[in-house]
Amino acid sequence: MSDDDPNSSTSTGAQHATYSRALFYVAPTDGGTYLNAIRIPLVPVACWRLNDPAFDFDSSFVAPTFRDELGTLSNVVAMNRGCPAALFGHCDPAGDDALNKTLGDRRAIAIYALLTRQPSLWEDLYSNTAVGDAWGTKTIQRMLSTISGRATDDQGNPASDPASNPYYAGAIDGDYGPGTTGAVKAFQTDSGNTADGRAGPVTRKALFGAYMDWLCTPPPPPTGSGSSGSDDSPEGTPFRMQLADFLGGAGAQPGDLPKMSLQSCGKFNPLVLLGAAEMNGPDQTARNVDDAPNRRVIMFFLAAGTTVDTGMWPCPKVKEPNDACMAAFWPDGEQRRSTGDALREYKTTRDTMACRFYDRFARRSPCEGGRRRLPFKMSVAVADDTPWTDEDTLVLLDSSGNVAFQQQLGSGTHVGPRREFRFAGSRPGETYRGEIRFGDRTFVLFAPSDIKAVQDAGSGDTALASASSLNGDDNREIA
Amino acid sequence: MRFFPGGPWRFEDRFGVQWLITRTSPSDQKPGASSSRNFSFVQGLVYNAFNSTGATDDVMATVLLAVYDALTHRQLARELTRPTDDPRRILRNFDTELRQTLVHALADDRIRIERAPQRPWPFPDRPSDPVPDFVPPPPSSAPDTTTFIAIRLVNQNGDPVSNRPYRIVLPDGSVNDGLLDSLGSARISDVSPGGLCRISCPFAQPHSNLSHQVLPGEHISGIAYAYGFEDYTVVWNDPNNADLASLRTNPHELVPNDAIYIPPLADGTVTRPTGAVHTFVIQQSPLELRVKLLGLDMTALANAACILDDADLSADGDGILSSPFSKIAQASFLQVTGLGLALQVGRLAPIDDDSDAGWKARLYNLGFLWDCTASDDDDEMVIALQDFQAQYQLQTTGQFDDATKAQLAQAYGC
Repeated sequence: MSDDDPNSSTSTGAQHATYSRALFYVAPTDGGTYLNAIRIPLVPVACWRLNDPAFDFDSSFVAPTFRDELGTLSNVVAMNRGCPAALFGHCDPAGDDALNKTLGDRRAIAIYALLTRQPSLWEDLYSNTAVGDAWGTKTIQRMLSTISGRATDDQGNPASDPASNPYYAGAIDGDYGPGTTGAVKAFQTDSGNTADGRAGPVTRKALFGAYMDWLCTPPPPPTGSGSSGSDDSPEGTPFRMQLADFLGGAGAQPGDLPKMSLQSCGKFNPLVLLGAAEMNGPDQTARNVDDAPNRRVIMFFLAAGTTVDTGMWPCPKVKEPNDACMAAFWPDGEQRRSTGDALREYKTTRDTMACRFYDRFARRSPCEGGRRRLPFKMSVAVADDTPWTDEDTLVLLDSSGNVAFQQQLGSGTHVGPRREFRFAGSRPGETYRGEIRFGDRTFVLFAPSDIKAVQDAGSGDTALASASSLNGDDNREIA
Repeated sequence: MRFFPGGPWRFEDRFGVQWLITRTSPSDQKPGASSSRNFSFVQGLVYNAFNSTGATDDVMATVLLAVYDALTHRQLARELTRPTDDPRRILRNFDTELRQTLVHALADDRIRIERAPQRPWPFPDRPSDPVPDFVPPPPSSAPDTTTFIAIRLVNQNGDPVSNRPYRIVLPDGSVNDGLLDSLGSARISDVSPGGLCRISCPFAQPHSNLSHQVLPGEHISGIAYAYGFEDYTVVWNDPNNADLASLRTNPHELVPNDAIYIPPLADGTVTRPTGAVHTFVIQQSPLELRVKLLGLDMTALANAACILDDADLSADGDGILSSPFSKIAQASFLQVTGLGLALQVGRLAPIDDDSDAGWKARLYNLGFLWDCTASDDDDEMVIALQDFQAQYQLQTTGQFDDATKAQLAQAYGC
């Protein structure tokens, strides 16, 4: 499966297609009753999809696999600074509407709390079991087996390499036995709490915080590859977002679950509707696997500067009933989300989402099976002794002359004498012009030919053939 | 004619005003934070380059091409190698693209267009600017030897009409061309007493009947103005335009290639004595931009604060923003709720135009169509129509049917 297949097991981050930049055609008037009506546009510019494997079945606990998806998110966030985010939790269509709404709520809360680093919101999920989503001892064991730094073993002997020594090495069995107690005691000692071996609220808060930091710390580069990929954050700097990075962030306080910042669609907007035979059949395991694409958390990033009056936002807050969702349905919304005889996939049939509001977002989003965007990379010869600063950037302009991509010159990966830059994705056939903005000068790359993203049929990845060098003969200085 | 490809570019427009177009350095650029007055200017400049015939306009057209080249790395200006090459023809071929490029570059502050120093401002200031009372010029300090002649131009409401070209031919035959100041007045001192002056105010080249083919983005008020008519109804109500008027029920929504009959313009030169202020009155048709601002749930944004070009304005209680609009401008930049919206004024096609551009633009403005470049076989068109139909409890056919058209006209306002 390719990277931007919504059924893929890895997460996706992508820029939405650049619409022809908003030009509103209006008519003037000489004082008659003529009017032009303009609705303030709500334009998603990018998206991120976190897929099923980050959650356990029927659980809102964020599994350690989340960390592998972090690079995608931090790239999307870095490329869309100032673009407010809105989180949507989704469930698969099995089970009751209200229960699914609740589970979707809890998954949205879990991710929101993780990204904004609010252990108290996780504590709320932990201590308030709902719809079978009980975190319990298993999650304590998983967190303790994930984070490392344990200085001593159960007998108090010092560990040979504490930095890579997990607190818990036993089975994830939900059994609060001596192994778990010992691990909790060790963690309590290391985090400055009373070592009583009981994972109470104070201990959990510290544990949630440590585990959140672990989840949001980019994994080290694979050994031997010599390349750390495109991670934005240097090793050791946990990624986090601020409350104000979200659409409902204005005036939000820690502990709030602001309307618009996060919400849940429950099972209203599935990507896949299994056929009736499979849905009602006996093989629950197979059904569960095929339903996986529906279990996801989506984050949309809206155009920079977007503000919305909360009263106009159609989605209910998390923990609120789903009446408001129903009110935003298509007239045939119930039919859209109903199981039919045959399997239906949103990316082809376009008719599985009940909510009219969400459907408009999803329709053109690469994270929900919308138009494909092709990731691509390009390499530029940048001599290592070039005195660039963090202000110097590589810029790709689209055919309208708007900045489509911008990356710091120093962020490229070394590939031989060149540096390679990766871009999240272009619309097929889109043509870009490259510039290097270096100090107060601008160098045009690739003159006279433009850059064209071409798909490499072999890998599903795309590559740019063109390349150039800073100060090379084929650059023109234009400023 | 050669221009340094990197700029800055300097040129003189047909009013004799010097202009300077400069590229900004990246450190000065603030994307989205345009110095918005420039915004309508570039439209005015492009408009003039398209619509007039003087030699200076060729220069202007060439400069615009050079700017466009620099912004897009094309080489249109360099194609102007033969003296017979008409830059305005090339400019027309790139009409939309060029305007958008310039408008976006201005919006992103990548280029700036400024009046070069030491020459007057050529285009009307915003009519909403406070206008001080007209004070007649003081009597000449040397009445015994010389006198003066002064003119002022007002419209039917008595408001001064500024920045119009005028011509005064003094009794000794010397020709004085200029632009009326912001009070709509002009004055020449040190005139020998006695004799009559020939005054053209506003000065417009007389012409016999003409036909004008509408270009994309032109509106009737701007077209009439370009041919010397301050009141577009003189043009529009001419019997020769009756067929077109029956086709285009809203004169402000024209379609490219509409042919407009331009009635003859007589020579308005009159003869007046020196030593006095002569006031001329012209009939002007107003031009206004009216936009109803809607929120996400389609409710009006009552009293919303906004910035239209460089003016701080506020919508009324029904969310309607009204502002006088310059006849030579075709673009405007509206900032509201933190977003900047580029408006193309005069570009809206009639709702039932064969091109479908009219209803698509309305759906786009109302936020139902998200991509105005979507082709018909794209499900974006279907979903946009269904979204609109569901919003107004119509049958969600996904087709632009009569019920949808009626509802759209009502929801949009024209």
